[in-house]
Amino acid sequence: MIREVVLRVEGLRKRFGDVQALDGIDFTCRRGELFGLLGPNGAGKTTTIRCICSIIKPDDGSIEVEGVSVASNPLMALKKIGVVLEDGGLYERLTAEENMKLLAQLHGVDGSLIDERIDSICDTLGLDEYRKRQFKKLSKGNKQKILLGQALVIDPPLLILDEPTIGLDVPAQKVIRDLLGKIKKERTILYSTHIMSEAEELCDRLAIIDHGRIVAQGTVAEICRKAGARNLEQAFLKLVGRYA
Amino acid sequence: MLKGIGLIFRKEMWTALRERRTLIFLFLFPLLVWPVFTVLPMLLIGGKEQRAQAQSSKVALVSAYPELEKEFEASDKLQLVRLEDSAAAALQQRKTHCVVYVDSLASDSLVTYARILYDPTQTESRAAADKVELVLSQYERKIVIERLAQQGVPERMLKALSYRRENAMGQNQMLGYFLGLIIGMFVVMGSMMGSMAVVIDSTAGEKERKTLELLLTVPIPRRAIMMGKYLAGVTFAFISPILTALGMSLAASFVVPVLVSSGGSVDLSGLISPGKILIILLVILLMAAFIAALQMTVAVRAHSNRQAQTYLAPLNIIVVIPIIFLQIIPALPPNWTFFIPFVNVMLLLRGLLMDTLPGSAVLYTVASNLVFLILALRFASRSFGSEEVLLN
Ligand SMILES: Nc1ncnc2c1ncn2[C@@H]1O[C@H](COP(=O)(O)OP(=O)(O)OP(=O)(O)O)[C@@H](O)[C@H]1O
Ligand SMILES: [Mg+2]
Repeated sequence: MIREVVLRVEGLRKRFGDVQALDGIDFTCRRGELFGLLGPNGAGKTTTIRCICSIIKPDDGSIEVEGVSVASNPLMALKKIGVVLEDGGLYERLTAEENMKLLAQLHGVDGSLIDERIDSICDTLGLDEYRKRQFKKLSKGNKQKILLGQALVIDPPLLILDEPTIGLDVPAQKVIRDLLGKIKKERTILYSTHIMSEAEELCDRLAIIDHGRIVAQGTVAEICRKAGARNLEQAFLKLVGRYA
Repeated sequence: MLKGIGLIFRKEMWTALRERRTLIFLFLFPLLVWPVFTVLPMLLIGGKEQRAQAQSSKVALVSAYPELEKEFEASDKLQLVRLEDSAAAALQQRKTHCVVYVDSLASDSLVTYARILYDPTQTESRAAADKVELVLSQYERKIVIERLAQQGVPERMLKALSYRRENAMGQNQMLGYFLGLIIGMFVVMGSMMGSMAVVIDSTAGEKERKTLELLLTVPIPRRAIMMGKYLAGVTFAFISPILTALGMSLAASFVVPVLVSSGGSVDLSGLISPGKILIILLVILLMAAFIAALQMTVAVRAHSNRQAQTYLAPLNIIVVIPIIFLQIIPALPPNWTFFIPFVNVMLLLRGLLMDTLPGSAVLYTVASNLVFLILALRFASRSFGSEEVLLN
């Protein structure tokens, strides 16, 4: 069964000075799937995500979210996206739930829905104990949960997560991964990471990105087969051409 | 667009008022710290000056000069003391307030040379020197009159012209002059200080705390995001100087009667009228709008709170410089001075309080502020449209 496309990225290019950060990125995410963007440092994952979220403008290429063009209708597209940015923060003096509320308001979520959603998100993410605490007083793991909550409170058709487990200790990473396992059922998620095991565990399909290009795309099995490798790590190392 | 501006404005006000720093800068400084720190010294200095004039001052006469000694003793404002150690040491230890030397006592000379040694950094010493000078000049006059009498010249020949200075400014105008100077200065500085924290927090601060990028992903046009932040800055830049002016005026009502004790009652309410207040509010609003835009252009380029403060520091100094020149600009300044930002606001405030302001000055001030405001805003919005500025 072929599901409908939620995110379509075509021919994306972006240059910073003399660095060609993106050099023709194409991929699609379909409804209900968790699509991984796997790549080494500096591959262009964050740049791709920034382009999708209209933080920066690509030099070339097109992005559509549920058929809405990011270039020609950025606000409409942004309404459909909840995002956890790489190394992102929230307002330190506001409490966890005030932060979620603020982001929901800025996204134009109907006021009557916000409290209800925050309750359910805190429940899912196990945040009941921390929701009244100032953001700056939370542990890194809990901060990351609030950031996730902030993206979920919009109830977006597309959820984008840029290395959401980076900088967390192993238990906290596991908590976030388990949460993603829990929420992925009903959502389309674009997930960027450079951790193989994470990609293997979570992703329905993934794209391996290197030097601003997609070097392989498909399910883990498909990628391994294409690369002639036994596992994802081996395939990855072969594909990004840094196989020792 | 408008809804977006409103949302961002509310968000900025909400987060700013959560910061203790904001409240301190917005309320504590304008209403308490500044007034107290300007009023207290004025009261202290004024009081000290008055006491020094009223009390008797200690004077040491080094050379033997009995006639002069008698004059000093006769004056109820002076008290003769003996020097035990060096004159400098005695002055320093305040055993005496000034020391008088009589140098040339050659019997054939008609002129006696005297020196008054004093310490100009001490209020009491300055007052003592003044009193000694007065006694000396009276003593000289007495001798001259005696000498002329010996020659058969009557005393009235000594005076050919009598004159005195008269202040062309009424007492209220003088008050307006000083108050205008001080309040004008604090209004400009209050505006700068009032918005600085908010502007920095909402630009460089958001970069530093990694919230700016997320804010750019909400479905609100970037221009509206900027305007919302800007308007929050304007609000603080507007409220703070008004509170400052209030605080300073309140403080002035305590100080002025003390400092102007000589001239009977002072009616401060005569300095201001509803029309003047309206003009002042309008001009402060325009200046606030200019200041917030200026600060924003600069702060958005920094990537941390601290760096933004460093960038903005020169701006604070630049604003203070005109204050130095303000004192040499006459009450009715040339028109072009009303085109200089910040200076025009200070001049306008002073002119309004003194009742010397031509209507054209208001017009020039408004026009100048508008032009600079629009320029600064264009710069700010260009910075805000740049990926490099926002992401780095
Ligand atoms: N704002 C920028 N200015 C200049 N160069 C940039 C900028 N952002 C990214 N780059 C460059 O573009 C390339 C891609 O960076 P990007 O951040 O997208 O990589 P990434 O895959 O997210 O890496 P990481 O795993 O380290 O997060 C890098 O070479 C980076 O140095
Ligand atoms: Mg990245």
